[in-house]
Parts: sequence; structure tokens; C-alpha cells
Amino acid sequence: MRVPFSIALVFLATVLLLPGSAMASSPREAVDAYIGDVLQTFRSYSGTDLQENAEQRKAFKKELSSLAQEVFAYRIMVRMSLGRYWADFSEEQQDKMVDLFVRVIEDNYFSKLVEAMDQVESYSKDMIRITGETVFSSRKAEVRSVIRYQDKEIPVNYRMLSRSEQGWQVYDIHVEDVSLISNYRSQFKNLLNRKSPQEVIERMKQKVEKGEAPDVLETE
Amino acid sequence: MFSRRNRAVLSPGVLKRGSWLRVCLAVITFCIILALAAPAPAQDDDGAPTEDELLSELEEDFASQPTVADPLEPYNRLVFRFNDGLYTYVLIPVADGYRAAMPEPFRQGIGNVFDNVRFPGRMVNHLLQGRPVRSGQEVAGFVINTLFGFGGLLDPAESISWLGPPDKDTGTTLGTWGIGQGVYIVWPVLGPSTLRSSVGMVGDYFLDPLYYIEDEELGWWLTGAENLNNLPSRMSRYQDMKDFGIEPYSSVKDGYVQYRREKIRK
Repeated sequence: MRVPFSIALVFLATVLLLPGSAMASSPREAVDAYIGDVLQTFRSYSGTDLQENAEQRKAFKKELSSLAQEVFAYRIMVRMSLGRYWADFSEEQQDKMVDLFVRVIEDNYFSKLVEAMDQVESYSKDMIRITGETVFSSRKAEVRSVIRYQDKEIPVNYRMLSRSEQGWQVYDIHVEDVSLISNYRSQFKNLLNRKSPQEVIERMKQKVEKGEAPDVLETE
Repeated sequence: MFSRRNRAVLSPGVLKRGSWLRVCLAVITFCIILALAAPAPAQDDDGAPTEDELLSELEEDFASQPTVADPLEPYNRLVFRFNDGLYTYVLIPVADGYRAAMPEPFRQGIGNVFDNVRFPGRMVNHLLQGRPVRSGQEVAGFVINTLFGFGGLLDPAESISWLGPPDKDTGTTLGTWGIGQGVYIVWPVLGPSTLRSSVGMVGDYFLDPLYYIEDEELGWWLTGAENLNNLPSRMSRYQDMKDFGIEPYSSVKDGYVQYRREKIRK
């Protein structure tokens, strides 16, 4: 029996394209997978006193950071935070800004998680609940979730965009209906109205150094 | 069979005319399928045109977010600085002390009692905003919490899904009526507000049952107790803003404006 060559090629093309499906196929799945990974990390550190043990705390934060790097489109977040001022930054300054922005976010966010860990007994899925998803277009969507913490329910919504290489990624977070990126946008707008990009970078550096002191200040 | 064909492609000399046509057709089909299945493979963050288009779309979304006029900025910044000192050196330590002395469940319970007693204000504002159903939900919530929640200490109404209307105050009513937010104002002690919200606060004051307590001194004590009870969560919110902020004044201003806008929209 002869398989026509064109059919064989069609088959080959289909197989070649399949690996793309390994990426999260919906925005909701992407957030769900991320939350699952974060809770897993929490569980694996649940026996250790992170406030006391600096080494462990460092490893914990590093693990969370690499999870976050995959799902957060940090560069786009910074670009949107700077708005039209992004173009005023040289390429090197842009890289520096992304770097510092990630540190401001992660230092504060992870420190709060370490604090929160002390007060939570078990890290189950019902701590964080995904409540819905709205797809605005083929490339923009919102995933809504609720975090239950100290008897309060805090709505946290993820604004997502679909990227060809990375799949669905987060470009903004709304905590209690306040957009993080809009908030940074207003701050940078105010600063860059009166300061140069380099001065803003210096300010970010100060913030990172001051923010880390005293307990998170770790020498490599 | 497949491999023999492949060899034939590699050495075109052995192919007959008809085979050439078949191979060309097959290759074209292959290309079309690739093109259809993987539209516009953008390569990196900023280079490819499709990602650029998406970014300018996002940029437009962000740029269209409303802001608030701040002609009083020099004065506001002074008050902001004063408040920051007051919070940092007085109110945050007080909040920490209270937090340590009063465990979370008790704070929650006390907060619930005040929230429950305050239902008339929310009820009236729902009505003024043309939402009678929400107004009824407030009454039902009050009755349920008072009867089955030990006078409002617990909040059983919260777990009933068809209850629980969004929290509304007089400022949101003015917003619903189409009155603009006016200028941004930072009040001493109270913190961020707008002209509209400030007018709303006067309305809320008269809709507050505590205002109608005949024993004036008791009224003040209760108001003080409520503010003390709310202090830990208010102060930790402020601390968060400061921790994440690069320019705290703008951060608090924008956070307040966004929060109020959503409260009106709900």
C-alpha cells in the first residue's frame, strides 16, 4: 500500500506543530498551574522557620522567584509602568529598570509571604481560589481569584496577554481592584516629570537597598 | 517506501516530470499548513510586529485610565508628610499594640458589630442609587446578623450568596449621580480624599446611627473604639503602599482614586 507523499507531509507538519500544546492553553490554566506551584513550594518549606533561618529563606525566595519569572511578563510590566517615558531610557537603562523593578516587587512580595506563612497552618488549594476568567480578545484576558487570609477574602485579578513564545503571561495584577501597573505608572509619571531616567534608577537602587535592610540584606 | 521517496527528492535527476509536480504540490501544501497553524511567529519581547501591536494596545488601555486633578499638590504633600510622621511614630505603634492585645477573632467580631449597626447608611445610599433590591438585602443582612450572629458579632449573612451587596456610601451616590470627583485633597489624620468624597463624608456622618446616640460622650467613645479597631488593617494597608511605592505620595493618591472608582462602578 502506498501512502501518498503529500499526505505523509501533512501528517509530519501536524506532528511538528503539536509540541506547542504543552504550553498552558488557556489563561486560567496558566494561573492555576502557577498557584499550584507556589502552594507546593509553601508546603515543602512548611516545617522550617524562615524568619530565623536565613539560608532557607534565601532558597525559598529563589524558588518563588524562578516560578514568578515564568509567568510574569516583567519587561512588559516595566514598559507599561513607564508609559511614554520608556523611550527616554537607553537600552542599558531599560534593562537596569527591569532588574530593579523585579527586585522591588519580589523583595516586598516574598517578605510578606514569609510573614504570612507564620500565621497560616496549612497551604491548601482553598486558600487561593480561582473564581473566573474573561477573555477580552485572542491575546488579552483576565483571571480572577480570591485569597483567603485571616478571615478576609482579598480579590486578586491577573491581567494576561498571550505571547507566541511564552504562552499566557501576567502583565498586571489588580489587588482589591487597584491595578499595580496603573499605580506604578502614576508614580513614574510624577517622578519623570521632574527627574531624569538616571535619577529615577538611582532612586530605585536606594529603594532596593533600603527595602532589603536589615533582615533581608544578604551578601552573596 | 517513504525513504525511497525522500531519496528521490534529494537526487532530482532520477525524477520524472509527473513526480516533480507531485513533490511541488506536496511542499506547497506543507507550507500552507505551517502558515495556517502557526500564525505570525513573533520572536522576542519587543522585536516582532505583532507583539508591538499588542503593546501599543496595552499602552492605550493604560493611558486611558482616568486620574484626578491635584491643584493643591504643594499643600497636599505637606499634609501627606505630616500624616506619614503621625502614622509612623504614633498610629502604627498604637495599631501594633492593639493588634497584640486583641486577637484577630475579637477584632473581627468588633468590626462586624460596627458594620452591622451601620446598615442604615448603606441601605439609604442603595435607595438613592436606585437599587431597592440591594437596599432590601442590607435590611435582611442586618436582621440575620443581629438575630443569628449574637447581635452582629458574627456575620452569618456573609455566607449567603444572594445577600452581600457591595458596600456603598454617600460619596458613591454622588458619583452615581454623575457628579465629578473634584480635586484631590489630603486631610490631616484621615488621609486621601477628593472634594466629592469629602462632601460624602458629611452625608455619612448624618446617616451614622452613632451620631444619634443621645449620650454624646458615649457616642465619642464608640467612634473612638471603632477607629482603634480599624487601625491595624488601615495601617497595614498604608505600610504596603509605602513598601511597594517608589513615590509614595503618587502611589497613595492613585490607589485611592482607583479604589473609589471601582466602588462606584460595582
